[in-house]
Amino acid sequence: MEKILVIDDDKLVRKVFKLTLSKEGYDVLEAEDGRQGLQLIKTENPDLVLTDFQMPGINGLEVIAEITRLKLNIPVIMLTGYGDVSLTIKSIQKGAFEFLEKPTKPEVLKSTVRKALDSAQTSRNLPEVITSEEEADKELDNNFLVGRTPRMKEIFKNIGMISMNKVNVLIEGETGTGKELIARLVHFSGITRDKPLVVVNCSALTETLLESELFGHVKGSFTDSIRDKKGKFELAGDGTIFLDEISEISLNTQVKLLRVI
Amino acid sequence: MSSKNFSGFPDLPDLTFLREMLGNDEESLKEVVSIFLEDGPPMVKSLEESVRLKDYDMIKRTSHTLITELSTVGITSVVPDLKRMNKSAKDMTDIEEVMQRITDVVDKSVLFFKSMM
Repeated sequence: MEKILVIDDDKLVRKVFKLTLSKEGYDVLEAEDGRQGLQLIKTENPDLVLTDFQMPGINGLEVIAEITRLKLNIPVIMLTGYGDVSLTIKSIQKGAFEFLEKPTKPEVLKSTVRKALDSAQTSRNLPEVITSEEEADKELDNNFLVGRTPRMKEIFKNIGMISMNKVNVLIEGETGTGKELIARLVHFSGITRDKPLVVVNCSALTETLLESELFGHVKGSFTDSIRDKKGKFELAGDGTIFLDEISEISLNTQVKLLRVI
Repeated sequence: MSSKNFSGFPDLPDLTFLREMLGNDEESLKEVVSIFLEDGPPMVKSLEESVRLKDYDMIKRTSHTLITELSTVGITSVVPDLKRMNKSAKDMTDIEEVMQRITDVVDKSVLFFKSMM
């Protein structure tokens, strides 16, 4: 059962979230302030944290900062009240997965929670950067494609051709058809196999964060950018960058992406 | 008992949102309402006191919490008043009047909620 921690100093809010999410089959833990929340994060290892913004003592931003500092891969949804707009922006910059204004509509709450949990699961399952030859062989063994139909043979041929060239590849297909497997095969089969493969789940990040992830930033370029950060493009170097769920990115980011690819 | 039984009293709580949130589970609804009965009225009292003392920081903080609380339990008619208080209590010439309206509506809602329990 997936575990969700709700941190809020308002008992009524905690109760409503707990009852609503429990009915969806989640195991819901409660904390009445940031300090208690951080303790539960360490002892209970929740899959998702919903935290209020304004709390006495440790606030929501500090909760996110601590989760980041401990390198815990736990998505955080920030709960905001009336008039918290500027703080909301700050929370996204700090790494919150999403923010929800209280009171939250049930369907919005449920879908946001699901999306956050799925995104975290996806990123946990995918190694971000793979470089060595040995790892490449292992990946090829693990990511085999089966199929003897003429259409599958056509796909194998295409992979063979593409993987020997430096080209941009758009992989289309419905959910579950194996787009990611194809991407990995393209990378590990050809000229990029001993170079890094960098995976970015575009739907798991907000617009600002995605841009920062892709292109990096230098220290001081925005509030809280305390050190230089290499972008995924730079990390990929001569290898491959796989932009998962690319259809989810904003028009604004698409324009910037076009200048690179 | 449903809030719809009290038609003609527009200031009474509308529990549609809460019911939807809790999947129409009456037991869960009562659990939430009992928390409001415990915490809501003292919070309103605290706001009254802050208004009396012209403690604008406290007015801002308490009104902020009450906006969420009252919206959740469907006491929405005074939420615009609380938003005004939260934003510009200092400039409100009618703040006592507004506070009285909030108190009246919450008192009436408390009676309504108690009749449900």
